[in-house]
Amino acid sequence: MAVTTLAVRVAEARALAPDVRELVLEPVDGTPLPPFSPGSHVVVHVPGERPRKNAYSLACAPWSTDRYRIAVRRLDAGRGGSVGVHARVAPGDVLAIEPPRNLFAPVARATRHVLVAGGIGITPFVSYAHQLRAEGVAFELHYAFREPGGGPLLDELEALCPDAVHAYADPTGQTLLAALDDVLSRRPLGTHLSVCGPAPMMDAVVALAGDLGWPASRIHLERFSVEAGPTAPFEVQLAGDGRRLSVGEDESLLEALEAAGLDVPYLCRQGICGECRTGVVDGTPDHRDMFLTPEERASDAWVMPCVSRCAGAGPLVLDLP
Amino acid sequence: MQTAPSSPVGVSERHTTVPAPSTLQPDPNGRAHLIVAAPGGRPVADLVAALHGPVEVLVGCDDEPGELEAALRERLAQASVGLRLYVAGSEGLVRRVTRLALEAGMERDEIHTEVTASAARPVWCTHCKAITPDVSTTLVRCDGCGRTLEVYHHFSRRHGAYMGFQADAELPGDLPEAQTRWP
Repeated sequence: MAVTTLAVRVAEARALAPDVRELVLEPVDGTPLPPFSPGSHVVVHVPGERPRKNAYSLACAPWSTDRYRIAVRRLDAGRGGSVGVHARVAPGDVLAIEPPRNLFAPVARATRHVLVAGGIGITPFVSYAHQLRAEGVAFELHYAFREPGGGPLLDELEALCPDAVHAYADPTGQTLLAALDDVLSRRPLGTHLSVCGPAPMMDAVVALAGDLGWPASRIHLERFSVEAGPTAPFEVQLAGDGRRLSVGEDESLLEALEAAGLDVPYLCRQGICGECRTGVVDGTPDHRDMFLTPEERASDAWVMPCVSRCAGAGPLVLDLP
Repeated sequence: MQTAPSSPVGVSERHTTVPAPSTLQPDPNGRAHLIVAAPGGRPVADLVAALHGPVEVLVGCDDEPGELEAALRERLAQASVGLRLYVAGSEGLVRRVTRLALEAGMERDEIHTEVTASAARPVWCTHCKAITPDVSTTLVRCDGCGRTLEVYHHFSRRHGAYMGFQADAELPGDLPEAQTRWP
């Protein structure tokens, strides 16, 4: 699947926190950028020796078509994309991004939104706040961060919607959970809960909501990416022409397939959307996605190459030409 | 006993919005529970006994649906997320109450239903938008516009009713034989 990209120029770059870098992106040729729905992200093609394609939430109003903004936390233990955004991108640079997509749109039927952010998980809620405020839909934003002086974008959100923002300067998240225990116990029918943050914090919020009687249909999650665990190199074989490829420890299976010239469809590159699902002819995948059902995982008939790997050295034989 | 819906060939039971037969089960995840029951319907004492947390029972009457609906609306307007709703009674009551609960902001996984009395269906006319209640036959005269409607295997959650369309639209007067299917 050919992916259309947009060329954008880095108009501004600045630090929002010691490890968070904000990039303002504007169209190269003056053509307005596509408007988007709240919660949307763009895939940024990050330059480098090993180019990366990383998804970042758009942290601006959905109708901001003259400039997009992203905020990226540097993950030194990551696969290099966020480090590239911090180290290799400068104002004036032209980047390729993919048009906005959304796996975290607000529930239109909700009459009230409880938004919960941990750290850099605040980014998708910037577009939420703009939209909900403009529509006059009731919402409250609970934001926990580790910076004592306030998390990234906090000042801006407090200025935008002072009555909605509740801030918790607490790296453990305990004060956030204590507050949510009360909030989630008494919210009217029609309220929906949306959460974005580090996996342990999200799991704790989901568990709390479940204890308080919130069903799955009211809980909506945006995970940063799969917090993958250790990676080891492995071998892949293509069932079509029998070609063998090596997947290095610092690249994903999808990246290795792309480097070999294969056109594997993808959208989120985070193990969430299901677009890149690929058939497995032989071998046992190490499933790390959040898309396949437990039954599909157990069958080992499918793998999500954007995040999943191989259990052992392989070869993992894929149903590809 | 309710019979399984007669799905035409090609209708996916997993994806159709046509309600599948269900029985009332206690929902252990609820923090408070509201039971709506019709008189003479299924006894709910065992359900009440199995539930943890506050339980309220609203007793409805098919003859005066307005009263029950008003009471339920008022109750749901005060409710917090964590509530579970249980509805037992005729198909008509179950669908009306479910629609009302969805309008009040409840989610489908918070609503448990069981048809314990007449399976006669509410039918929404695709021509005049009127709902004809308590339809037990496959053909019915629309309460709104008088057209003869065929009750189709299609359910609108928003209207809480099955869809009916003019049975002889293609060839006026060419009507299939009416059958009693939802007594």
